[in-house]
Amino acid sequence: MARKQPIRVVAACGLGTGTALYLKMTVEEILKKAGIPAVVETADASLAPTITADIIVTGPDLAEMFRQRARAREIVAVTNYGNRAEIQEKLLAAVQRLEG
Amino acid sequence: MSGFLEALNGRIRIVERVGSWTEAVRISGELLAADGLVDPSYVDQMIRTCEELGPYIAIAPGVAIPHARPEDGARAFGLSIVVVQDGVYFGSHNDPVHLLIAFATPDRSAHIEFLRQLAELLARTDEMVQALIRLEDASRVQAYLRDLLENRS
Repeated sequence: MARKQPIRVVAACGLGTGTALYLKMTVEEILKKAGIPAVVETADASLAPTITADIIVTGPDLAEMFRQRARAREIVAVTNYGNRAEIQEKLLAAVQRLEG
Repeated sequence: MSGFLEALNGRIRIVERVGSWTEAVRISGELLAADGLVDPSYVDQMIRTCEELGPYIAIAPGVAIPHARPEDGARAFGLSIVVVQDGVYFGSHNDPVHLLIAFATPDRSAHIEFLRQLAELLARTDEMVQALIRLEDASRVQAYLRDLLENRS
């Protein structure tokens, strides 16, 4: 396959100002380091029905809601936002499933 | 760019215990309101957000970041900290919460630097929470956070 399309990631939380922005920064760093082209945006819960993404990254408390209302091929639920290894592991696993 | 400690500006409260998570969130919000950073409605909305959307603000073991939207009555960017020594239950996988870091931001970008520094603190969540619940006064909490932020690797 030639040049890959950037994957579309949405970092989502309740209001879109706190945890989503926090996740967006971390997700961008991880994907950049891994050399995976991506467009990362933020969204809040009220936007769920309008989201179309390859991956939604959010917390476990909101994951089910996004699973039901948004359109995404993968939902990544991060339990500890301070644990970069957890975010990286779950995110890269989701990217692999997209490609597989 | 606004640093964590400048944005905190001494708004630190240490309590041994609270009756509920709503009480803890209210204390954190009232610290912001007392300095005119938010309207009283912002504090109510911080609580309502959790009631409606669940305890997703408990983002790391022992740590929660109560906040509401800019348009809910945030007048200026600022933080407050509440340490609950005995811990409080939000109904989250990250319970019990001992450290609340509340924030208000008047737009969606004033707090980017804060979120960056928050990431540095959360990278050491366990040691930070264990240390903070043993401190008996606010100035020590501030000094401890200063050390963590300045000695970042």
